[in-house]
Amino acid sequence: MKHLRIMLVTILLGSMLFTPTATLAQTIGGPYKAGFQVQNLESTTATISLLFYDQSGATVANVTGETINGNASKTYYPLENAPTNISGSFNGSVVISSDKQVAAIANVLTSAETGGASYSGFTGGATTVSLPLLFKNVDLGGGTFLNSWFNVQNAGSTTATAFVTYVASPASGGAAPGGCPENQSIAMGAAKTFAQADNTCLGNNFIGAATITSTQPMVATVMQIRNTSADILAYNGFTSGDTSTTPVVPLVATNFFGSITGVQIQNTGATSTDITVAYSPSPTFPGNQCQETKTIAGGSSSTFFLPFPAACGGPDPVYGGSPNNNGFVGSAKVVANTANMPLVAIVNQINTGDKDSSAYNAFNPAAGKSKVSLPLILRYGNLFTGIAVANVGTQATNISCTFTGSSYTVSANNVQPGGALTASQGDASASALGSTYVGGATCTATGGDAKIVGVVNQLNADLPGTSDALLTYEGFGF
Amino acid sequence: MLENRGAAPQRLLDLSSEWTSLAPNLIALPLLEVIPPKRMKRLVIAWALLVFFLAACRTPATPPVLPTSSGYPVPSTPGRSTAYPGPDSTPIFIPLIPSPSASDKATITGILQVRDQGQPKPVSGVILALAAIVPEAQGTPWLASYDRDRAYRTLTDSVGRFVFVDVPATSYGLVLDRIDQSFLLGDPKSGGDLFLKPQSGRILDLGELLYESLPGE
Repeated sequence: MKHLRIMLVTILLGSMLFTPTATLAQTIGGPYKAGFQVQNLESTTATISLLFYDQSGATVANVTGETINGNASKTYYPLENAPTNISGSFNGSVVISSDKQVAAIANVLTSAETGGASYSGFTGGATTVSLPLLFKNVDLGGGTFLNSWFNVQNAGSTTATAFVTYVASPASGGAAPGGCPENQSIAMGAAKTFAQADNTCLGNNFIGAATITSTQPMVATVMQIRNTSADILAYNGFTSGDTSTTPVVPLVATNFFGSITGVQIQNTGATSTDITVAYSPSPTFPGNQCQETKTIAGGSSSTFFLPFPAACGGPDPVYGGSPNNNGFVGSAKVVANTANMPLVAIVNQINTGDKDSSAYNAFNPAAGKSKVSLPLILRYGNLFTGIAVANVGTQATNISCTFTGSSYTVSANNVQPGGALTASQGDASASALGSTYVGGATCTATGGDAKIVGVVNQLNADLPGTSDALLTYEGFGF
Repeated sequence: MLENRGAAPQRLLDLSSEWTSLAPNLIALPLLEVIPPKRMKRLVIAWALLVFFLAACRTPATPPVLPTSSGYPVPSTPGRSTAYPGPDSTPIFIPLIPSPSASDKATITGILQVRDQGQPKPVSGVILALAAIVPEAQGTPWLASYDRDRAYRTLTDSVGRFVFVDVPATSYGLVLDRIDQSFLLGDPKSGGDLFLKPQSGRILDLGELLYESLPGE
């Protein structure tokens, strides 16, 4: 008999509850819908319960006795009319308890369900959480603004205050004088929202990082939004266990069929450090081996790969260059960190043509395994995936990926540390998968120290430009 | 994977074919013998008569009914099945909706449409599934849960028709499964939750579910 295991998931349901001033309503976006999926990681039936908390910490619902078959998953959609005691609108959190080991992801969608983002649930929190990239009213021109907000959930055993301080990035157009501190008391299991547009201390056009501290373990999820599109980009806050002195990014792409990538690296240490990132183009894709070096102060963050380093490839499509699909597709790795500071990073992927977007977290090389499971691979009509599997070891390795129910394989030999195997299942080279393929892939490293990590982009090429058709998930090492 | 109980379109096809496959089966067996031509002619006539009577016996006393129709709209111009062609050469296919095979089961059907340039347009070839309704401790419906491996699933046909056959008579939500994502569909008229509540031994016809847009588009 397994002991009780608690998953903590911060989710947002229904309408946002901010005071709807005109500016705020525009910049915060919403209303949103949220659902979540729970997977039973064991082979026998799991019985779970779900506790829904509002922001005050009050329990608004308790769902008990739900069962999930062994190795199966269930998707849960909160019903709109159910929370009648809160007028059909809810901004809160969920705690999932199970008698088996389970994992969870949450999906946050725009009200029209034309865009959204996913993030993983948490098994526990930390008293310090790092958020590498936040925005306040970043003016992109033409009435388009970037903003962000995040929910902090108390994963501890008693009410505690979450303290937040901000640091502006070198490229920021808005300041964060004195760290623009703010704090909120959060009950056990509950979550509170911090909207950067609400922080009057932060200057407009703020781009930067934040650090959350508390006496109780906290978890946090960030939403990045653009007011003129359905784009939502989500990422989870980082704890000290997530840091690395040499994080790895499996996929960066710019000037390749509308793609733009920005990598935001935060120095979670106290001392300034010089960071050098090496970029390696993937086999058969455009780009040159190149590097970029920036100084990052303690607690601060800085953007890499945006602007597009000229040495990496073709013209920068963001800063005046004409896109020619001859830019760069490959991977990135921190190869120098002069003060050996702990780092975390997130990766934003944007497609300028269709306004698709997604975010994923960079990897700690210590998380590398010899195999990576990519559980959802698609070549189904206009749905297709692209995979990027990076060598996070210190020696060259061979990477080969097999696909369930198919003899199709992709492989790359002698992949150097920091390099990656990249393959699109939408390409003609993957035609062996057929046109209705829904399966999974397993990538295996052989030779060298055989440590890999991977990410998967999912794209629906049939959706209009008003929809956010790009999703990204991180593979599971084993 | 489009597995299990959701294969309603195929089921529809099978049931329809029961009515037309009877004669070939009966005729096939005697031809295994060597029969003189004159006797063959008489046999064919006899078999034809027998087939006619057998087919007549197979015809139900009353036509299939939809006992729990929820306001399925009557077309302004009555449709015709292909069995009764009229002067207009364009046939309108009216599928048979199978009744539940057991008294504790139910059938759920409807037509999925989306408004396109002001006009209803059938949504064909999409996967629909039934999600269980999960109450919270006080009994209020709180969640819809969808187990992709075990849920009742079906495909819409060319006119957007969907049929879930032999489902337990309990409450459901309706899920649009787009392979990479799935969405709980709301009530297209009220915008609120859409609860499907079939009754045992009956067909629940939801009529036309006309959406201004569908999620994931």
